[in-house]
Formats: sequence, structure tokens, C-alpha cells
Amino acid sequence: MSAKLVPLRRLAGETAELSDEALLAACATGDAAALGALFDRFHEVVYRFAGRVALGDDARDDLVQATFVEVQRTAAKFRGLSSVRTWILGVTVNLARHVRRSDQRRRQREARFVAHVEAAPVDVGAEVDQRMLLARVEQAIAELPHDPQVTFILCDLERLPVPEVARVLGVPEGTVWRRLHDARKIVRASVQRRLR
Amino acid sequence: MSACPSELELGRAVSDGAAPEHLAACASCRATWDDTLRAIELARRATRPLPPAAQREELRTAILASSRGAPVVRRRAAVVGCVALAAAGAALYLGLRPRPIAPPPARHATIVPHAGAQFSAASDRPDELVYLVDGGIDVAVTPLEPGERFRVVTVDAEVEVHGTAFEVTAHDRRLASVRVHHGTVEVRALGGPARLLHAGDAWAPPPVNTALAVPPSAPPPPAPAPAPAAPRHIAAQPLQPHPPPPARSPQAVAYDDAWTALRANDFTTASAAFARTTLLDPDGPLAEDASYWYPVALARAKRGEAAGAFRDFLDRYPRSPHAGEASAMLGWLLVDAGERAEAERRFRAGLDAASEQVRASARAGLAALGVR
Repeated sequence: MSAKLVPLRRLAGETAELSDEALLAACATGDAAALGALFDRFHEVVYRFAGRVALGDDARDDLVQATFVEVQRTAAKFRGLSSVRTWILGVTVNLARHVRRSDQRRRQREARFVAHVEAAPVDVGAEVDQRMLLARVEQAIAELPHDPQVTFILCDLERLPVPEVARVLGVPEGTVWRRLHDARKIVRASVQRRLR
Repeated sequence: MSACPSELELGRAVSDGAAPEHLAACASCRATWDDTLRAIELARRATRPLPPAAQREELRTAILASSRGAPVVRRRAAVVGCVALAAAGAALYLGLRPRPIAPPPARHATIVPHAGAQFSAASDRPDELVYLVDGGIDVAVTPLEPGERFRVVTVDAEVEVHGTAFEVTAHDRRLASVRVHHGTVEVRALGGPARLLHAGDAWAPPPVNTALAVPPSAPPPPAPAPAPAAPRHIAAQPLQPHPPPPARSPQAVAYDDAWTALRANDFTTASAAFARTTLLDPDGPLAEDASYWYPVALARAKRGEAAGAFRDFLDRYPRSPHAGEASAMLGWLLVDAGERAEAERRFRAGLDAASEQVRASARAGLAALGVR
């Protein structure tokens, strides 16, 4: 295991000098070191996305792994119409729908857990109250329908430009704005309910 | 209030920077927008922490292993494969693959490959990329529009052009030559300055200078001042002399390049050259030493991969004379990363080092963790 790991890692010293686009191009030719370097650069943002669509820990790992396997498989299709970061997140979005279904039962258990936490008394200090507010927001995002959910995550949380998100999702910009508006209203309402 | 935009319009207008006057004048819209911003800010903070580094490393290894056709070792990897395959299949069947947004744009470049050339045209306008693996290609590029780029990429260099015709060759993925027929080409090779080539100019990588071969009996000098600064919390130690390479092999050249860069405090170049040394001859006499100095250089360059590279070194060379130092340095990196349990384990390993300075650093690390 480690014998395989070492040479793969050591190539990273060279690939670290290359641009994201060059790494993706190298990845398209089957260059494992380039794929490793792309993982190093972008796995955190993919993990963050996976966490925000409310996947359990195992499903989150699955989505990250499936994303980078798919990145290598489809790297040659990158057309430079968005940043590599946005493109990789687009791959994640496409896969998330399927991974999420398999994780549905686990998500329901988590939702029950959050509901249980919500029912706890709130007189245990401001920090706990703040954490519960964050948990409420997290739950609100998790319960959004898929399209507004990914739009909200990409635009407002990952701060990607609306035109790029529209390209990645394959919808007009107006649709992105509408989905974003729907998601914002729901998330905002969840905060307001909590504060009342 | 009838002049108020809808919430959707308000969001777009704020994004376009077109709503500040209305927000300043309308308390109702301002309150709504402030609530929205507060909700977004809370949502940004509501993120789950990343899994531990070791778990991510395991996942990375599984991905790379699967990319090489090796068995995927990660737990539940088969499930992932099925999910990915099912997802791809379902997407194909249902027509859910990412829809083409626009017809594929035209390319600026006309590429004529030499016999046996291996290359891949990876992307089209506005950022055309050609990844050259081996052999030669003739490239003619029509003038680019503002904001457009054209590059030929190898693993060690990029060639960027602005409307020209040129010939470029690579050997084993490395840039071997560039010859410009007309126009201007910029060559950016790893570890060297960018070079601008005009019509008639040619570029080749610097030759290996065998006249500078070091006699086998003359080891490279121990680190002269200024020696690279040691990582934080670890007392600077004199750099040890290293056994000279038996001949000026490519790995020996890379090793010497690494030391030249390290002494010049060019840690990024040094780390790349140490990595090259081990890559060229993973089991050779320089591999262990280069494997140790690689993460040291990464750490001094403040690169996030340093911790992983130290782990690799310790996994592969647990009995190395450098193991204690590597453990202590890794411990401090882990302290910075908040991975206290592994940091403690690494510091304890550092207590066995031969050097008192390293043992003192390890003791200080344990003290910093509040461990006796």
C-alpha cells in the first residue's frame, strides 16, 4: 500500500508548478500525479459541498471519490468555459443527486437527531444557542429541494459567479437567480423562526 | 412602497451593484436584505469539519490507485464504483449529462504531428491547451483575441504563444525543444526563467554539464552559511554532508540541483528537484536522503503537502538516521494543523533521536501539547 503511495506522491513536486488547466489536461492523458495534484487543490471544496448537501460521513467520502474518478474520466471534455474549480464542482453536482439517494435513510436519521437537539432547553448558554442556530440553518439547507440547494451552495456559499453556475448546471441565468431567490427565502425564514 | 423591486430583482440588483440607493432609502427592503445576508453568513459558517488528514490520504490513495487500474483499497470503494457507474449510466440513459451550452468553439491552432507524436488537444478557445507527451508537433496559431490564450504543456514546462508558427518536441513528457518559425513564443520551464523566443530562435533544456562532475571521493560540502532556516520550533542544525553520487546520472544532477536551490533558499525548486531525484531512481543510493529533504524543503516553502511527505518518508524509511528529526518536524506541523493525537505520537518517536537538539524539540512539542 505505502509502496504504491510513495511514487505517486513524489510526482506532486513537479505538478505543483502547473496551472489548474494544465493539470486537467495532463489528467486527461491518464497522468496519475496530475490527478493527485487536482485532488490536493480541490478536495476541500468538494468535501465542503458534500457536507452541505447533508450527506453522511461515508456518503461524503463516496461523493468525493466518485467526483475525482469522474474528473479523470471526463477531463478531456473540459472546454475552458469556466474555472477548473467550477467545472469540478459541476461534476460533483451531477453525481450528488445519485449518491444522495443512497444516503437518504441516513439523512432521515440525522434529521431526527437534529430535531431532538432542537427540542432541548435553550437556557444553557449563548454558545449552545448559537450552535443550535447553525444546526437549524444546516438543516434548512439540507431540506431544500435539490436544484435550489445546489444553486444556493454554489452561488452564495462557494461564491461562484452566476454565469458560471448557469453554464455548469446547463440552465439560463434567470433560472439560477430564481432558484437562488427561492433558497434564500427558505434559509432566511429558518433563521428568523429560530430567533423569534 | 410600490416602487420597491421584488426580492428576486433586489438580489440581482445588489449583485450588479445597482441597488445601493434604493436600499439606503427603503427601510423595509434594507431589513429584508440584511436578514438575507445574515442567513447567508450563518450558512457559510454551518459547515462540517473535514475528515482527519489520514482519512483523506486514504481516499486520495484509493483514487490514484483506481486511476492506474490497480485494485481500489478503500472501504466501500466498490460501492462508489457502482454508484459512479450507475450514475454515469443513468445520466446517459436519461439524457441528464451536462448539456452543451454552446457549439464547440473553433480552435486557433492548426497542429501537424510528427510521426509517432503523442499529444492531446485538451481544450478549445478561449484557453486552448495542448498536452504534449512525446514526439514533435508543428503548430500554427492565428492571432488571438483579447483574453484568449494558447499553450502547449508538458509536465515540466509551458509554451505560450500569441499568433505564430512553431515546432515543439517532448521526450517522455518533458519539453525537449522549441523552434519558432515566425511570431513570438514564451517558454516557461520548471526551475528556470521564462524565455521569449522570436522568429528563428530555438530553445532546448540546459545540457547536463559533465565537466562539473564531482569526484566520488569529494562529497558535496556540508551546508555553508546561509543554511536554510529550520522549520519553526526546531533548532537549526548543520546540514550533514551527503554521500556523493557515483556518477553524474540524471538523479545525481537532480540531487545537486536540489541542494543548489536549497542553499539559495529557493525551497519550491528544491522540493521539486528532490522529488525528481527519488522519482528517477526510487531505490537508488540518493533516494532515502532526497526523500527526507523533500518534505523539509516543502515545509520551508510552507507547502501543505509537507506533512504527508514526512509521513511517506517515515513509512518508507522507519529506521533512517533522519527518522527522529522527521518525526519531530512532522509533530510541529501537526500541532499547527490541530491534529494533536498524531502530533503526540510523532513527538514521542522524536524522543528516540540521536541528536539532543531533536530530542529537545520533541520534548518541547509534548510540553506544548500539555503532555508529560
